[in-house]
Amino acid sequence: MAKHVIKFKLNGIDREEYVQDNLTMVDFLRKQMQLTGTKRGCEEGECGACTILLDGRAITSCTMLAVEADGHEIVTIEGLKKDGVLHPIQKEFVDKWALQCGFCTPGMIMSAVSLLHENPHPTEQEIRDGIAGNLCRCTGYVKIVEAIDAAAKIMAKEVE
Amino acid sequence: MSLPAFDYVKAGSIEEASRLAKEKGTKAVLMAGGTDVILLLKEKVIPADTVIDLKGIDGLEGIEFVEGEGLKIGALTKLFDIQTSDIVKEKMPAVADAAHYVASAQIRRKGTMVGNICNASPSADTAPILLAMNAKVEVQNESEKREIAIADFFKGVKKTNLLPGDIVTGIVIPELKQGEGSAYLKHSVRKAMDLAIVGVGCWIRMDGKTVADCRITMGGVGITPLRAKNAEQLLIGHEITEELLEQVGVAASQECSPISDVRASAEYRVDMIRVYTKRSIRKAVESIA
Amino acid sequence: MAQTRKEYWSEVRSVYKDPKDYVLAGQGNAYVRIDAEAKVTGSAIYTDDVYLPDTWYCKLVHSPYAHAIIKSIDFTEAAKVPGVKGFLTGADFPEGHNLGNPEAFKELADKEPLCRKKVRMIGDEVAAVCATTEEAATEAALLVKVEYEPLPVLLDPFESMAVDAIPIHYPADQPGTANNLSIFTVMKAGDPDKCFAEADYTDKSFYRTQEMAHAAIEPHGAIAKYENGEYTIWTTTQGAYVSRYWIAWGLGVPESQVHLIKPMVGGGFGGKLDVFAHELCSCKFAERLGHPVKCILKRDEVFMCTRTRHPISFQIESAFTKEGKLLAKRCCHILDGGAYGGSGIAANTLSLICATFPYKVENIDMVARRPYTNHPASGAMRGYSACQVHFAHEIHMDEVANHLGIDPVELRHMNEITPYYTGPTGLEFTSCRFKECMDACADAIGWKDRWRYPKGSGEAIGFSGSGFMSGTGFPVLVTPHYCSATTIVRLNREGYAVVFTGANDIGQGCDTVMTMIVAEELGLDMNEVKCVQSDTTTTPWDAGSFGSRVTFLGGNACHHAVGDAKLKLLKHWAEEWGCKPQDIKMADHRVFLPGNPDKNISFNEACYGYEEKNFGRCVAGVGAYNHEGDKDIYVKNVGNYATAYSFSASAAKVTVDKETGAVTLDDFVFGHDCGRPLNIRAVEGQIEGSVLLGLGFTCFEECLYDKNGRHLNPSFRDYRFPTALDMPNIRTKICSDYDEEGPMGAKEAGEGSTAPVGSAIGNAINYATGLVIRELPITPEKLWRAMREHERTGKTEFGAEDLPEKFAKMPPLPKRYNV
Repeated sequence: MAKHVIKFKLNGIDREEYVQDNLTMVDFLRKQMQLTGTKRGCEEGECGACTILLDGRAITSCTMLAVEADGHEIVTIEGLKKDGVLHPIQKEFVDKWALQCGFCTPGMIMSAVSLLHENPHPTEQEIRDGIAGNLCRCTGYVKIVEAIDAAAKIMAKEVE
Repeated sequence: MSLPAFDYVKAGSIEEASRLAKEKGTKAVLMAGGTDVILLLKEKVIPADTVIDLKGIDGLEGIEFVEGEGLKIGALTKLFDIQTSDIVKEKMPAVADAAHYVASAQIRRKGTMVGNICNASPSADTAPILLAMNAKVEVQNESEKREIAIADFFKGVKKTNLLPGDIVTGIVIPELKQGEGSAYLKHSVRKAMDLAIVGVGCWIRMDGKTVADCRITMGGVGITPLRAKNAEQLLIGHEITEELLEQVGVAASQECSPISDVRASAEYRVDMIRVYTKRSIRKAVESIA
Repeated sequence: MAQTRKEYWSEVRSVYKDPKDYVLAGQGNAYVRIDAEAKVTGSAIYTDDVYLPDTWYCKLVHSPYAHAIIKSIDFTEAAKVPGVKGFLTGADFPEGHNLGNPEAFKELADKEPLCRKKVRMIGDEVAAVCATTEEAATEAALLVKVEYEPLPVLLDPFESMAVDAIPIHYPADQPGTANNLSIFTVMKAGDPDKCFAEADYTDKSFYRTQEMAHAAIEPHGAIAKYENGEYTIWTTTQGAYVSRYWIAWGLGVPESQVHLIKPMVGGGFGGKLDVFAHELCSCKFAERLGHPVKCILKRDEVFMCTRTRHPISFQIESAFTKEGKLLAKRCCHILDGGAYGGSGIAANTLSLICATFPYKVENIDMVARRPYTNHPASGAMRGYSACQVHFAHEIHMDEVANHLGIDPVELRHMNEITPYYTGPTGLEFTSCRFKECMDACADAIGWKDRWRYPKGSGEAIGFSGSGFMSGTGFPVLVTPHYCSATTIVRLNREGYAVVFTGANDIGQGCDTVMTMIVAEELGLDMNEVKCVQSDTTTTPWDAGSFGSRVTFLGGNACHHAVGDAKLKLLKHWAEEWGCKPQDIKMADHRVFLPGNPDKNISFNEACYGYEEKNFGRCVAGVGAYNHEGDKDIYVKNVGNYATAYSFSASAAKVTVDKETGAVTLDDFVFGHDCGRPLNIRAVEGQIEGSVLLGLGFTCFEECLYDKNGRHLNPSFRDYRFPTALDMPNIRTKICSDYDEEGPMGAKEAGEGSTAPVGSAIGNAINYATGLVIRELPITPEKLWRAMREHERTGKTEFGAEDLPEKFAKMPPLPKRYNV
């Protein structure tokens, strides 16, 4: 087993890191990059708590090797705020009380970011479908869907 | 999350991947999206010490529609891109549906359709529709190219008929012609995320109100996806009625050999084949432009 | 005569803000959660996010047998793994220091930190390994060789009670009586026999609910260090003080040398109340090896060796007049206790208490038994048996209604508990808007018109009602004056206040509630109140998050604390200004006597002035809240269990796919009497989460085992709970009255809301199919089987078919020596 140098962008900053072959992305982020916002819920791609953006698209980081990041762009929950301002999705989650224990929240928000990027005007069904891979045990998803819907409308206005 | 030790190699070409895979035999595993492979390594189901990443190889990603041939899907094309592709939704929406059924959006943005069939789980969601539509699997071994008909592709549970050194480069799905339609329906407990209890694919060609030809395929009820040939024969040459559909459903359900496991009993699976055969046929007919 | 709680706190309460002046409490969505920003930006620290320099890692070694004697443990191979630093077995912990939950029933504590002589469930911990990396510890744990002598496995609670069953813990001490009982409870009142003899209608029905897992997205875990003779442990706990008590006990050290800190917790739902091997082993390794040691459980370990919801088998008999008046109820509940007791012990008594409401029934004869089995230990889970009990009893209510030809909602109205009713065993209901909850639900779902979905058509509406303790008074540990919640509030002259609350926020938002109560009373903004939570060194005692007690008891303790501080401050200024303390208002950062522009100062000046007079001593208030009760309620089963009770009703609309058995929940209405909702979105959030748990409970979730006790689905792949696509939108109707005793008028919302969900959905499924399903979960396959059999044979009642014989054959209970 060897170590590889990976060159990639992490939360907007160019990085060069040494990673072991068999290191998963979730462990790399949490242990090597000390970014603990991405959570380990099941480590088998079933709960979505470890969701991050790979080239702008939400994937589960437990089903990715760190070494696969070479040449790509990674964004974690910590990289969403811009210049100290919360992303509209983050803000709506706060305002709409779309979280309780918060453990699924980072992954849920990253899925929502990806969803709204791919589909800026989703219906309620499309929102639910887009976050179906993020399990939440606390909220029943009601306010999460509401927050994503509200954020979509705000973001659409900003584009105009 | 502990994965066993292995050497990661990013192949620069198909030839390189092919040679290394042949050299290592069962000690190597090919990885595209990795969403199956990484978990299988973790569970120690795959005893590989070398992981060959194919994502560095150019020219293996993309969806192209060629008139007279059909849809060409490159091996590295993600399921999510197939699900959302305008051309797939237009030319053969059942294939987009099948892709959509797989796991979660996150898994689909990384996982590939080729990976889904190479993993060869009996309940793989993309297998039945590919089988129903007579897809062809394009393979390259070092520099030799060949095609495997999808019907000859699956061998058993998690086993395909690929040879050591074979690299799947793409799938070609013949286009739907005038009067032809297809569908794939999956039965599961939840509305998302679940492995299929059963899945039924259907390709149909209508001649007015008569079924001119059809293929009915079943997933989750055998060691590979299956064709329900007796059921097909009952349907071909006839007009579709509720009674006939019921007979066809029953026939299909008698052509499968499911197991009982933690997800469902064999008995339930058999009856769900009957139910979903009917529904899939109806949907395939409705999809005819 | 002894002073009452009301008398004791009356002066403090005299300076409480008038509810009509509230700007935060109950004012719609006037504030956001204090932890929301941290959680949406990923900066909130949960146990696995706590990193200390030079941390080593612990992994547990689990039994592959459900019941076996441990013959030997060999670490030779494991020791060869590079990085391995140490091992632990049961012998490393003081013998007899078993882990349990209620201190008053310490003799029932039955879980060794690591098993010494035998294992009682697959997953039972027999050893632990510590290594410099998580990978090395994992590898080494797999190489530990344990020799077992397998014993017969008992997975059926009835088999476990058989007179000749092998003892899992200890044999029955009265031969010929039920074996393997971890606890049993008897509750009687009135003359049920007479009622049954004279009633127009009597019945006997059987129901069964399944084993369910909490499935909090955050796995259990701990990280511990040892410095200066003190253990410091960060752990995923729902109760810092209770966990600290048992960890100290398990280690055999004084409580004063165990410092337990609760970080953010990613959901508990009752599964994080007990104390586990990973906590004890992290501490022990840290002490032995001089490094911080972390142990985070994997998802399959969480399923196997933490806790689950009790599966319950029910025998229910009821006696009604033909007009629908409930005369008497007999029931027998058999709770599958799994391998250990702990927080599961309380569920036994609670199941009977829950069966006595939400309807008035004066004549009862109820028994609950909790036999051990070789399943994972059952413990507390949201609803704490109300979920299962109200499933069975509410499906039963509809069956009665249908037999009597009375509308099910009418039948409930006829028997509903009303305000200020006292139950036959002493439960004192105070505020109660059960009737209004039921009316609101029935109205919203269109109950009057329910046959627009003809019976058996595949679509239907179902209804149910329930109640719950709003603030289980039981403190778990033995405490002065049965107190379970305390808080300290300090006022800072720089313009802020600090609330040191023992309350344990596990996601439900109680930290925000405490902050809000203090901000409201002091006239400060939310961000001017700093909350220090749940740390046995910095915050005072609290019993933990369970039994829906936090807003009510913790909130009251917090209210008393800020009231105490306020009283001190206002007494000073009352003297300065020649008025009474309660004449002075605190609002908008000002302290003032209304109508007196010259007696109007800032909060900062007010504090400063107090400190000036008091030689620099700051204003600090100490609050506490106790329930007037005692531990004997568990034994005598007489008395009031909580200071208030919440009530709920729910209505569900389902569509059943009659060919496949798949159930879609189309619509759900929830009516809740939670007192004054302190924040409407927080209450809705709790209810919505409860509906998710209820849908999972009814239609999806089940822990499955093979005949050897091996888990068949210890992962999210096959333990399925609802995704966003499975859940409908939920309409919440708050039908409340300001509760006299609740902090700012509030009652609970987090647990009572789980109770009626299952039966509303179950009743709807029954009307949609024309069948009666008496067993959970109602998965597509199970429903399909019932529908197909109905088509073949005409049978309409399904589920729990083996129970009549099992109940009939049960051995008798031992006679109690005490009470």
